[in-house]
Amino acid sequence: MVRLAALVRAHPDAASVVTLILLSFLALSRGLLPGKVLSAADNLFLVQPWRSLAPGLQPGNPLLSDATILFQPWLIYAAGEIGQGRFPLWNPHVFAGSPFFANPQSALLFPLTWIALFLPLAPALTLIAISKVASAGIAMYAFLRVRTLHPLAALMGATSFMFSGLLVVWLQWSYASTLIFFPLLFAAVEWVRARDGQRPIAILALVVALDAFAGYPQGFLLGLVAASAWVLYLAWGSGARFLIRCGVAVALGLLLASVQLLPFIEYARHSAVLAYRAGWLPPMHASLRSAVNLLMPYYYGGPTGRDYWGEWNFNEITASVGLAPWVLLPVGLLTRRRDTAFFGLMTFSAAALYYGAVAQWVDTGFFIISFRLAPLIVFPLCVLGAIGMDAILTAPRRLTPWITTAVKIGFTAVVVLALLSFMSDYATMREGLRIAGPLQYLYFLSLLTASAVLTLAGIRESGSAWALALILVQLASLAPLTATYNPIIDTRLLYPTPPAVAQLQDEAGRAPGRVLMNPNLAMLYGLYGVAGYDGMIPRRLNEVVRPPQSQLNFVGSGYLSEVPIFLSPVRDLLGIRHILVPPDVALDGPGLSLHYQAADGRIYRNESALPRAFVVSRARCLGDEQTLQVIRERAVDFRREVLLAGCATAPLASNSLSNATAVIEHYAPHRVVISAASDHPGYLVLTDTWFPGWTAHVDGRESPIERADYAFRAVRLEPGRHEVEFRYAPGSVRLGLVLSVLALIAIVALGWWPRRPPNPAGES
Amino acid sequence: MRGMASDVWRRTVAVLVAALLGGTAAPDFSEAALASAPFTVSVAVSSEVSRNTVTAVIDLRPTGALDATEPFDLYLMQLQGFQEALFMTASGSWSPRPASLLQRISLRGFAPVIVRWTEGRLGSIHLLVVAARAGSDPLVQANWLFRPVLREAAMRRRLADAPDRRRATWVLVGLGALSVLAIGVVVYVPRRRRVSIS
Repeated sequence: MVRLAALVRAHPDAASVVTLILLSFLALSRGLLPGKVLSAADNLFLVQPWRSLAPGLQPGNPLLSDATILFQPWLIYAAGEIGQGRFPLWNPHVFAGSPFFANPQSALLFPLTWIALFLPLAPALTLIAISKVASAGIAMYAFLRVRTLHPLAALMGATSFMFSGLLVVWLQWSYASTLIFFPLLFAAVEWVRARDGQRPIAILALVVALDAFAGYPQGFLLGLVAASAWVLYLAWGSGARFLIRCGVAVALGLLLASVQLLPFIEYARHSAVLAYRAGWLPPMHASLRSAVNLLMPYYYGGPTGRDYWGEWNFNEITASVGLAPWVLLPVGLLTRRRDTAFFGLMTFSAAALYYGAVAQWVDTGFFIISFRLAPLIVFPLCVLGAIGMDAILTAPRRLTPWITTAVKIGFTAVVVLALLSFMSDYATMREGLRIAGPLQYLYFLSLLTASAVLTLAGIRESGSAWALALILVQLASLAPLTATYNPIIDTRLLYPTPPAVAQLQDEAGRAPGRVLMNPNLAMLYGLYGVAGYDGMIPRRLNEVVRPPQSQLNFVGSGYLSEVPIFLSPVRDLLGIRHILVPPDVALDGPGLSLHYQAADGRIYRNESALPRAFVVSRARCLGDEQTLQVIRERAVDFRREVLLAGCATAPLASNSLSNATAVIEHYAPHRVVISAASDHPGYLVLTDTWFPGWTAHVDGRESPIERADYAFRAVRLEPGRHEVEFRYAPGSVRLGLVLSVLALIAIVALGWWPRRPPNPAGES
Repeated sequence: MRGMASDVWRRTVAVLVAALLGGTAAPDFSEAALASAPFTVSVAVSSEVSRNTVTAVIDLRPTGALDATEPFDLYLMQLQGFQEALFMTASGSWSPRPASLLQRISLRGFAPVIVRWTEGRLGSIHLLVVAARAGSDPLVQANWLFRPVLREAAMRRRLADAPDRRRATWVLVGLGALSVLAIGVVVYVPRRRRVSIS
């Protein structure tokens, strides 16, 4: 024991990093036990056909459904494609085909994603979660140490950040991955400032690129903005050279990320979300009174207890950082140590936007949803808490009696505000909270009191035992959310195949075509679907599918669900051959016949569905508005005619096509080969989503792809037999790859560049 | 030392002012597409024994830049998450299907609209006021004439209305006493400074 203590004292940083990793495992490693996994896949059992596999099963956390139907199915799809030796640029299983790699949330270039590409899914999901938490802690620790904080203070900041409510509730989203980069960007900027040579520039560039690869553009953008403010703050008095070095590093980082950013920009331009948000984004914010959940995360209940009664949803208003930072905050602010003004104002201004203090003057939303400003509250609060502890540990001379008084006043203010809030809400919250309100309040009060007493003891006495005890109290205050929010489930619940889906696979094998089933999940079973859920829906497909009486799409992203698709005028055009519905839903309509009926669902066959590739003899040139109008009025026979946008080739007016055939010979995500024959000039229509980057070759010669029926593809054919090959090789990816390789060469060269001898009059 | 501290504040304020100025570019981006709503929407809640009465008032805000003659339908929606909404009908009830509060009205001659209903839900509700071109789909953004107005209202229950008021009061008194005790403990901790390490 003594030897261990000596080892820790000799190597405090190594000991801290090991501690942070161990804490991450301690918090989440139950998911590594045999037969267990950290996953929200049990949400699938809320709906048929999965529900019939485990009737009555209550999912651990229904709010994590994005992980259930988006992030984890993506990982499975990506791993499958990589396993077959293909890089998944395109996903043909959702939205009648959509870009996959270009969607940044697929995060294919982010190292933590690779865990799922090379390990079995169950351990991979848990290891990714553990790695995110540990990385966030280590990044925060690194930043605080490069700002020369005491190791224990850095450990306090790191544990606060890695187990903060923000990171825990978004753990299974790519958003959490970008949170790692807030401290890492700040640390890298500090390295550029403090160290001479080119290597820090290379490191900052790498951090910027990794942040871009992490998969959440809003988080990436916010991190860059925050780090830029930090650069400007440090640049005051550091000279232009520092600014130039940072500018070069960020530019190199962006160039290195080009392979991801350029395809993303291309996809964003063609996505429903950008079209919507360019017009309006709701000015959502939390109310100031909801800030009480910073102290008691389950104050408003939560999704795990199904007792939530707060604003919007639990994840959006969760930004807790535990309790110790609140007690240490006055110490940090009043000792006037470096950085406190910067981080204090960052917290204040972000909180003003997050809690709607300026909402009465600004009636529009930001391009970034206001809730996404939470990292600018959580990150600086953790830093300020650490600075407070550092001030007590390392600068006793600055600890004036006024600071002790300020801690006491701060503590009293927090308790009084929490008590007033609790008294005001108690009559409302008693309506069925799973964790009783008084119990939460007592837990909060006891831990906050312990934090205050320990902090005051630290101010009064020398030594560091109080700091260790305070870190333990802080961990206790963070534990309830960390331990309960991300469910550990049985691996048998990880995307099993219900009988109805097995039947659907069988039917689709016998009568090929698309299926209409739960959004996104067709990709798990090798089926081709249209329904999807994503932040970035292909805009034109979204517009042509949705009926005029549309549904609310409040933030411009979300579902393209089964009902609008079923009612859509392009249902048959999309080639939806089979429709899976719950057992209590009956469909009626021309061409629909029941082919399967069981406790887990019904499968209807749609005989009216068109093949996915066919040849038509008539073509019309119309503008987009007209095309949509004609389609919505159902004033076009898709079997005979195609509506073309742009019309690079002359339209056709023939009325008959006596012997036109089209057979899909080969169908892979990036390559489709079709044999087509006709005795008249015609158009081969492929009802896969039109998108830049697809090229067509007719008998080996490049032929232009027309945008057909608003959202699909068509190629002109002359009479005769032809082989038509569609290939997806987007120019944005190729250009991005070239730029990224050049940037990588530059960064590696900078990293290996010999360090210049120190400047005698150099900067500190 | 004082000079160094004020320098830190100066540069911090400068950086944040620059960041805020940069941030104003984002609202301008959407401003180009939809004009600011010419309405003010106020929401008042009065608590009753088992429910709350909500009063929403939609009034005109004087503005000269808008077309005052184009007719529009006025919708009051209650959001049910990000994908669903209920619509206040002209008869004062909520409907899951799009229904307008007022039809074919124009800014010229707009009279204040007062809507009142009783709300059984507790927690928070979010109301959205949309003005869509007369006869068009209010859920299609292209049909909106102005930026929608979003308002939040808190639905709380009063302790005085609780059936077991006495027990609840005792719980709160107990927690209050413990809070006072905790404050006492912390305030009592002596403020004697530790010996400075030189």
